[in-house]
Amino acid sequence: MARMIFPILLLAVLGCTSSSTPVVVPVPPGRAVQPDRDWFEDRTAGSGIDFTYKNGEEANHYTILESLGGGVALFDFDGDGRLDLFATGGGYFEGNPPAIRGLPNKLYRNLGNGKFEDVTAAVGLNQPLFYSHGVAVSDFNCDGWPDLFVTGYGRVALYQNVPAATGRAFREVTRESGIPENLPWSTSAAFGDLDGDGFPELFVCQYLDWSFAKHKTCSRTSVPADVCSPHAYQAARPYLFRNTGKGTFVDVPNTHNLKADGKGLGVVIADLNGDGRSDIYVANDASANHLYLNASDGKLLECGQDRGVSVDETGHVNGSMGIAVSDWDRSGFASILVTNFQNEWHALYQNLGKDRFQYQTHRAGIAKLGQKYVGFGVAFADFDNDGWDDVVIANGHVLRHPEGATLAQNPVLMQNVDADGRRKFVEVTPEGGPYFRSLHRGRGLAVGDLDNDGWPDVVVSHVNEPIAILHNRGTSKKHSITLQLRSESHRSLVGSKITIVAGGQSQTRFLSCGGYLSQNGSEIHFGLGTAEAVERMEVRWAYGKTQVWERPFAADRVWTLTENSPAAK
Amino acid sequence: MSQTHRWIIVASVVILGGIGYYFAFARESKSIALAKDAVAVRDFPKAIELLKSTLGESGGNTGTLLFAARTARRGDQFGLADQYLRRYSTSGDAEIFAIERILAGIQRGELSQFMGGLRFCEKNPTHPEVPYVLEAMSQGYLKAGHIVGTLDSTERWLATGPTAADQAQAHVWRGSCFRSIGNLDTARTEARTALELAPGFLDAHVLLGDLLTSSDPDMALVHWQTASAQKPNLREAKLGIARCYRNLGETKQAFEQLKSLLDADAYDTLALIERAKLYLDSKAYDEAIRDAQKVLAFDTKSRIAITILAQAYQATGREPEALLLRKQVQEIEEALFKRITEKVAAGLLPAPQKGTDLTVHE
Repeated sequence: MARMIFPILLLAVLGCTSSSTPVVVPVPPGRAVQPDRDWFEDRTAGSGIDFTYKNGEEANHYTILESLGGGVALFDFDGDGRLDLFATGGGYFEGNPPAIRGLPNKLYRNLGNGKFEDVTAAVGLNQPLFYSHGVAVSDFNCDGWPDLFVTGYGRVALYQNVPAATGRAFREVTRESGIPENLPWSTSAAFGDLDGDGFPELFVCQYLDWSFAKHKTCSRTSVPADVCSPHAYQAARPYLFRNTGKGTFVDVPNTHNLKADGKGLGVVIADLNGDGRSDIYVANDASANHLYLNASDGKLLECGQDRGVSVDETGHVNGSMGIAVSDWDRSGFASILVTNFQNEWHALYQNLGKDRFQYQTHRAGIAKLGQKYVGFGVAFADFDNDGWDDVVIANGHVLRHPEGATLAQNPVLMQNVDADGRRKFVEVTPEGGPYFRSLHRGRGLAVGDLDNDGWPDVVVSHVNEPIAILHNRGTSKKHSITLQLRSESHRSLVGSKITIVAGGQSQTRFLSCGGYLSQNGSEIHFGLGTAEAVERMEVRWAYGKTQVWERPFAADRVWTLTENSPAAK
Repeated sequence: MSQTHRWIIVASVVILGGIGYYFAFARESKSIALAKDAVAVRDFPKAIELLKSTLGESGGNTGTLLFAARTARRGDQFGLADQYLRRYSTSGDAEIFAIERILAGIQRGELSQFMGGLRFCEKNPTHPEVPYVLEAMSQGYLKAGHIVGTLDSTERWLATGPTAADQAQAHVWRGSCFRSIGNLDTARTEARTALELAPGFLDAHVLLGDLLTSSDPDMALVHWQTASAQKPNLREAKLGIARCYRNLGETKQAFEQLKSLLDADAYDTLALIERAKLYLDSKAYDEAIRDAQKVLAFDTKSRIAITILAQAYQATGREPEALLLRKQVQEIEEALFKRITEKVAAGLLPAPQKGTDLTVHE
């Protein structure tokens, strides 16, 4: 979380302001708040969700373990057509010498009408307890039901979605799946079919080699103790588990020459170079980011530096956390947005096609945010349904006593607008609603349409502060369309590319898995502006054919597209 | 001519002479007073102009000559300072003369003189010369790239209670030091303190503008524009404004700012680098390559120019050339790392110390 040529010097003199309670951010002059025009409404209260990720900082050990926070996943575990919410719970420290303990995760079933119920124990997700961080969702055994993978410190858990008397439940199958339960320190994870057999592989980021035996605290003139930077610890190699298709996984680090020099915090699997095969992008902390392109021989080739996505425009590594992928400029290519540490810009790597990317943070308006944020969860979504992907970012510092920034920070909302014929992001945070106008310790973030109203909602996990459910108020009369991709074989469709044409304009989405400790809903949402129908839909199925549907598809509803089926429902 | 007439003439001459002398003296006093006012706000160029017209090419009383010598030296006009000092030496105090010569050396960054200056301040903490010695040491250390020395001497200088403008100057120098070691937050605090003490202080606006250009380009633009309004041809301000516009995504305005700089000097390397970045942003790769190569023609080790060139090559499919350039960047970084390490070892940069900043507790 900090980029330094000369780490000792750049760590100099930190300390000062902190905040543990939400503070209202002053609205910039000339931008009066009009609550009736707010983009989002915080609907956490009364939703039945009252859950807080806890990091154990009250023990004042100042461990780097406390920095990461937790994630959220939006997925329909019971097949009722509504996105349910899973959140990791974190942990705490007990005794002296301290032991690292876990707190329960939570699964909330979406009851509709903005109400949720806690079904964690009922579906068997209340065990095991370990200090948790991230979550990834995929139907790993291709039985048609989404399964869960939870990461954390010294433990991971794979939960299989199984039938139960009450509907669906989860059974922990980590050991029998062949995934080592005791992976050292797993952060973000992502599933995706990397070899074309239909079964999703699993990539698990590892952060670094911290333990209490190697624990360090860092002090400064004004601060007797604080969390040390990642430079104080060694990187740890990531894990890539090949799915055998028989309900088990095999660790295959050497097959793909995975790099062990990254301190992995975020990962996304998607087809990033448009060749029909899923690739992997890893956001590393204080080390170069990695891009593993999936070669035709089934091998992964790390080429982040060659493709221009490993460092910033000055050639320096960043402290990277969150990742999001989007065709924000309607080029038809997948660009990558990476959130970074304070005193760094978030990096927008624009995809130029032909396996080439270019750092476009400045021209795209991202640099205007400045460098005061420590950015974590990030997502692209067309929040205003105008046909162009916007951006939401969860922010919050990792140092207990940061200097030049606050511990709690306001989230950022950026609108994708036209700027003399090119696209640019303009900050509209003050118009985001009361949540955006206050300070939080944001970490994992997921986007999905919780109420199926055609307007994407946002869920944010915080450190020691309750999860926020942000309902998209959909204040304009614009239209949208939502697509669900299906395969009769229930094979993994991550890596698929979806293009629609509406009102003569084409838009593209990339089916991906991962992010920062979190997982967005798997439905594909397109804002259509004033268009009331989609004229054409095209899906280039991952490792499959390209299928085209050409007829008017009514807006403002969900359409299901099934591989090799001409029908669209 | 009668006796009476003679007396009238003598009296008239005496009176007119007296009046003339009175007006000349008053004018000189007024000029010196104005010069002192200018020095109080560190407007050394104005003070020097006033003193030049007052003192002329020769003569002058010792007090004014010393004031002029000191003012010229504080304003970095060492040649002029030396001229006044030599005129002062004919009837002035030999010890003061010697001290002023030493201070000129210290201020120029002659490290050999520093220990004597420091010992003098420590032995004679209340001596009226001490603030001047510490000010000169602060500047000298800064010029010599001695961060620890600059921070120490500015701290001592501030403790002597100098004028608000002098305090602002000390904070700007401190801010520059903190910037150079990457402690940007403290550097910003120093620059803001300077502006609180002296709201219109150009150097503080320039420093804060520079420090905010990346972190808060909107606010940085205000500081750069304030600096530019004070000094319309200030190159740093034009460059800063261009950088802010780029960070704000206002490519067109950024190009316009750089145009005026490059019209004045087609080989302004900093402006060329900024324009190369803008061309890169705009996907005008050939132009980016041309500007980066222009810079490299003068500065073959320009890390940023090489990086821009590598990016432009990478974006245009010239991967092997991009790869070679990235290797070159790595070599430059290694060399820089070595240099910084050596500076820390030589005590020219702060090293981690137990119980203070940067301490890692196992």
